[in-house]
Amino acid sequence: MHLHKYEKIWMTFGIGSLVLFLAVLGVSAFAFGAQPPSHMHSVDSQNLEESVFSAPGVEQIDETTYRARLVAMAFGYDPGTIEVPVGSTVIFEITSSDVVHSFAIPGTNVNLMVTPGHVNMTEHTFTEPGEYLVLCNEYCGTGHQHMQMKIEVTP
Amino acid sequence: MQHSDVETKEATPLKETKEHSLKGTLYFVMFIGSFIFISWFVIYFLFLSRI
Ligand SMILES: [Cu+2]
Repeated sequence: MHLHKYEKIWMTFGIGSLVLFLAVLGVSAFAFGAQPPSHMHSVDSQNLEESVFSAPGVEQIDETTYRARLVAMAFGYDPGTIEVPVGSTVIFEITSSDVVHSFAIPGTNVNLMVTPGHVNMTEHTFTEPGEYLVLCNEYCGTGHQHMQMKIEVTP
Repeated sequence: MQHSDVETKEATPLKETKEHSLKGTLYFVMFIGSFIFISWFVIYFLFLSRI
């Protein structure tokens, strides 16, 4: 097969960037444990009262680690405000009691879909005190634009 | 007249393809390629800076 000299240049560039991108993603996934927010844990969305989501809220795991179990529903989150001290790492476990919502904290990497029936998980370390707004960015109904909650990071 | 026009066009295609220049294609492909490449790293470093 005859390839033009220029074709060799752009094919090398294309295949090379693909390999580089996949290598970066592979290293972050396998060496640094990056994973997608919706992993294999599931929950009965019809019966959240009898699941680990029966009393949504924050619980302390160790000195600087907290777990926040939250339920998203049309059109809000339960609880509507949580509070953690600055410097803490919060493991978010979120599920939905109705339709697909999302959980996004602008200015951070926290941005995930909240699918009913699944425990959607992500974590974030809050290094700056202040009030963080959480928004739903997955259109979920007529009150979608009002769907929000707050995270208070106290000094 | 029209007839002879078609005939001359049909008689020369081999020579024409051989002399095709891919320079414009190369510039355009590399322009799109570098745009994708640079945006990928800009987004990746934005992600890293927010961890
Ligand atoms: Cu929503």
